Amino acid sequence: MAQPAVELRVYDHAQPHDSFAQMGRELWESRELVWRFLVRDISARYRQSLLGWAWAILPAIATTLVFSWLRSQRVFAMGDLAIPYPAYVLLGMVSWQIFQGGLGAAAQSLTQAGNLVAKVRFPHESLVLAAIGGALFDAAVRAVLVGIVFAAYGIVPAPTAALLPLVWLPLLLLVAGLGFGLALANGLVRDVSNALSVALGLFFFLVPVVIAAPAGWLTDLNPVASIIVAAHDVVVVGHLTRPLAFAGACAVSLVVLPAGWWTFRAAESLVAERI
Amino acid sequence: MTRGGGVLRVEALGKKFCRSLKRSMWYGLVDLARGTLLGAPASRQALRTDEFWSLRDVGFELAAGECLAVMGANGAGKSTLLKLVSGILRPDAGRIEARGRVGSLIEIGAGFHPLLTGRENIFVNGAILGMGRREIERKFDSIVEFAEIGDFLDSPVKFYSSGMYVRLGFAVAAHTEPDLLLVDEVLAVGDLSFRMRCFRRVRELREQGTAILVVSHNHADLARVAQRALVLDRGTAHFLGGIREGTSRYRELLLEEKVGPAAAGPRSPARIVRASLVDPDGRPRSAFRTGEDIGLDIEIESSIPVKDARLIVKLESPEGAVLGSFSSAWSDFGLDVSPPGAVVRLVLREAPLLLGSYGVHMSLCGAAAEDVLDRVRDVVRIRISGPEPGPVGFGVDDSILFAHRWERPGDAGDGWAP
Repeated sequence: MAQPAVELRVYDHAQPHDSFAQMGRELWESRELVWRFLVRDISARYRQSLLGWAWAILPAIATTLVFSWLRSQRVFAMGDLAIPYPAYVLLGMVSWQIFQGGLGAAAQSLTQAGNLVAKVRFPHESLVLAAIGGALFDAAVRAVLVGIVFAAYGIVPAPTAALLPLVWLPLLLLVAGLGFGLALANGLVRDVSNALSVALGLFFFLVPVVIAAPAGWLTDLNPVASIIVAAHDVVVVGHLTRPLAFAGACAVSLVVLPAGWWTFRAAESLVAERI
Repeated sequence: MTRGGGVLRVEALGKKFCRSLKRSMWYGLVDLARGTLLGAPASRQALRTDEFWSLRDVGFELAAGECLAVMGANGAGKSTLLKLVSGILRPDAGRIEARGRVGSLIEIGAGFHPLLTGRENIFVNGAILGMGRREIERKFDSIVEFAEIGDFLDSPVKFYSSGMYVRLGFAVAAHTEPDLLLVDEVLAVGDLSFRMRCFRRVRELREQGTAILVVSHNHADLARVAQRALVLDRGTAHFLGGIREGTSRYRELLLEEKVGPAAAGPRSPARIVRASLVDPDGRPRSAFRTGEDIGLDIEIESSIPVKDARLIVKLESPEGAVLGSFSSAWSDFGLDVSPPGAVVRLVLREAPLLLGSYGVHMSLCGAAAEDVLDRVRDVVRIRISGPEPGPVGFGVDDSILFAHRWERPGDAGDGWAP
C-alpha cells in the first residue's frame, strides 16, 4: 500500500517556483519527520551525560550568577527593576535561549546532517525546524526554572503571563526565517556558524537580558529586544510598555519568515550538491 | 499504485560539476540569481572554466516491475544519475519524470543516531524514508525480523556490529514499498546469507511491480536482479539494452581503458623493453578466445652480456590476483643475453582464461637470486574476448576454465577414466 494518489514528480533545469501553498502543504506532510528528528535529538542529547537535563539550565544559572555578582560589584549600573535582578535575568534568558539557541542550532542543522542531505531526498526544512524545536525545548525547561525562582522570591506573575506563548510566536517566526537563511549559508560557507556565535555574543548586550532595555530607538528598532521587553511586560507589568515596537517586531517576523523560507527552497539543492 | 505503466522517464539528462570548490560556489550563486530573476536560465549548456559534464545526454525509460542495472567505471556518472533521479540534485539539461513513491537504498541507515536504540532509530529512519508512524508500527515486527538484530533491538546502535547496522538500515529501507527503488552499491555489504536475502527482497519488490534502478560493480549480482543494463562511459550512455550484452560491453570498455603502453622501466644495463602478443603463426594479435594458444614475444635490450639470465613472467587476473608464474630457469631454458639484446617467446598452451583482461608482469634477473636487472608491471595485457559466460555466469564465471566433465558414478565401471 502506498499513498492514495500517484504523485508525478518532474525535475528539469528550471528553477522551481513553488507557491507558498505548495510549500506549506509539503511542510505539513513532513510534520512527523520534524517530530522524529526533534525526539531523536532531544533524547540523544543527554543520553551519555551525567548531569543530563541539568545542562538545559546550568548555562542560564551560571550567566545569572556572574552578572548578579558583577552588578553587586557595580561593574555596570542599572536602574530600579520591578523584580529582583536574578529573576529578571532568568526571565530574559528564556526569550534569549529561543533566539540564540534556535539560530545556533538551525545554522548547523544541514551541515551536521552531512551525508543524509547529500544522499537522501526528504524535506530539508524538517532538519532546521527540528533544530529550532530543540532550542524551544531548552527554553521550556528554563521557563520551569523561572517559575521556581519566581515562587522562591514570592513574585506573583501578572495574569497576562498566560499570553507569553503568543508573545514568543513572532520570535519563533523570526528565528525560523533567519534559521533557514543561516542553515543555507552555512551549508555553502562554513564561516557562517563561527561568525554567528561571535555576532550573537555581541548582540547579547544589545538586548535587555542582563541589562535594562536601552531607551529609545535602540530597542524599538530591534525586533528581538522589543519581543524580550514584551515578554517581560506580560509576565511582570501586566500590559505592553512599548506596543508599537512589538507590533513592528511582528511585522518584521512576518516578512523574514517567508523570505528565508523561500530562499531556502530555491537554493537547497546548491547545498546538497556541495555538502 | 500504478502497475504496469511507466514509472520513470529520463530524457537527454545532463549534469555539470565544477572541479574548483570556490568556482562551484560562485557558479551556484550566479545560477541561483539568474534562475530567480529570469526564470528558467536560457543557457546552461555552455561549460564555464573548470566545469565538466558529469552526465550528458542520458535517456531511458523504466516500467513497473523492470530492473535496470547502471554500470560504469568510477566517475562514470552512476551516483550522479541516482541523485538526479531521487531529486537531490537538479539537472542542468534534460528532464526526469518519476511517478509514485521513490525509495532509496543509497545511504544505508540514513539518520541513525549512534546513541539511540535500534527501536528508536527504526522510527527516525522510516520517517526520513517517507513512512508514517502507523505504517512503521504496522511493519515494525517484519522489519525487526528481517534485520535479525534479536536482543539488540533496545541497545544503542553504536554497540551494533557493522553487519547489524547495515542489516537494520536495509530492513527499514526494504519495507518502504516504493514504486521506484534506487539501489547504490549497498548489496555489496553484509555477509553472504544476508546478501542473498537482500536479493530475494529486491526480486520480491520487483515482482510486486516496483521499478528498480541498481548500481553495482559486481556483475554477478546485477545479473541476478536486472534484465536491462545502461553502461555509462564518462557521463555518456555507452550502451542501453539487455543485461547480458551490457555486461560484456562494460567489460570490454574496461579492457580498452586498462590496456595502455608498457610502462618504461628504470634505466638498467639490461631491460625488458617490450612484450607483444602473437598467435601461433607469429602474427601480432591483441585479443584471444578461451582455450587458444597465446604467444608472448618479449624483447630484451642489453648493453652488457648477461650469462644464465632468468626471465620470470607473472600472470594476474582482472581482479588483481596472481594466477601463475613462469620462469625460464625452471623450464631449463638457457638464456644468455649479449648486446644489443634478445627476443624470447613464451607460449601459453590452450590458455584456460575466461573473458577478461589479464595483466602480465615480468622480471629479468641474472644468475644469482639477488641479481635483479629489471622489473616491469603491466608490460602488456592479455585480453580474452570470448566466449561470453551464460546469463548468470554459473559454471563459467571468474578467471579460469578448468577442464572438467560431469558423470554418474558407475556409468563407466567403478573408477573414472582419465
